[in-house]
Amino acid sequence: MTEHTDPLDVSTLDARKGSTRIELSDDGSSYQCVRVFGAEPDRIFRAFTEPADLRVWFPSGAPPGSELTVCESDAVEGGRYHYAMVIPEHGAMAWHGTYTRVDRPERLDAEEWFVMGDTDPTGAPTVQTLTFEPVADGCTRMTMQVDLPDPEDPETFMEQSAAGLTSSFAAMDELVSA
Amino acid sequence: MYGDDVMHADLVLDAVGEPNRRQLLQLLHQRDESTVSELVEYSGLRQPQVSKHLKVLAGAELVSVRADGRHRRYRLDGTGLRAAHDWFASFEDVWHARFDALDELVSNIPATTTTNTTTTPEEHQP
Repeated sequence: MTEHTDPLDVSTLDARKGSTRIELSDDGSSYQCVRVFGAEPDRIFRAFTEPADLRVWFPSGAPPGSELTVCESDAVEGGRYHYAMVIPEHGAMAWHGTYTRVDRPERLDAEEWFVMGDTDPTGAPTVQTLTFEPVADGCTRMTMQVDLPDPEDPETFMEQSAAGLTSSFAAMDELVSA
Repeated sequence: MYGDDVMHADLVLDAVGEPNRRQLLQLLHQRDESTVSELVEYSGLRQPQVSKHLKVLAGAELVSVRADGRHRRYRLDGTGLRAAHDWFASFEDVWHARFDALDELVSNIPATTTTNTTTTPEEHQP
């Protein structure tokens, strides 16, 4: 059972670069990311749950000099994850999560608390739902749904406000791009 | 998300997080330039509220004001909007960067060893 896949096919890594679709709900209470990855669902599931993989991709996009200081994940229902980073000029920040549903390899739900500094998580979590569907050529379509809590911590509030504003921005964009 | 202008973006997003202030921004967008009393009339808000909200919006550089005789005329200021816009773009950039890196990671693992040759910690029953 050899599967022939042409590595220079159109639907390759390069073609997928920057293809993440990010959509925000009008009321600012949630956002959704959709992305196709070049491996089967189980591989993507591992990339989202195994520290060795998370260490590779999670810090991407952070400014130069950022350091991932903690990367722990126990992907069972009720299991926890904890990532922490130190970002130049912003200091420490951490993501604390509890896996609430683990259906390998198609679904992974979690409640997450984002905190700045070394504080303990408090307040309402964001609720995240990840689904992995097999698509053509051994690829996987990931859908990440993030429901934001009522704004309590500033970072969440910023995300939420930004989300709520997208439609206004569309209308007012002409002003800033003038 | 980690941009240098986070402080300004924070002010802006804080300012526009309040629905009445968003309404005032929309009114200023439609009407170009307005006095406080015009904004009171069109928003249905009370004058002290409008003044208070305009102060917050001005602090975030979302509105600017100019004196015109006895009137003070308010209008939209793109400076604040740009900061919020840039902040949100950087939030998106982080997700793009992360998922591109994830894709690179999983795509580099030779997927040719599709079934049994891959050894994972999990047990596979035949």
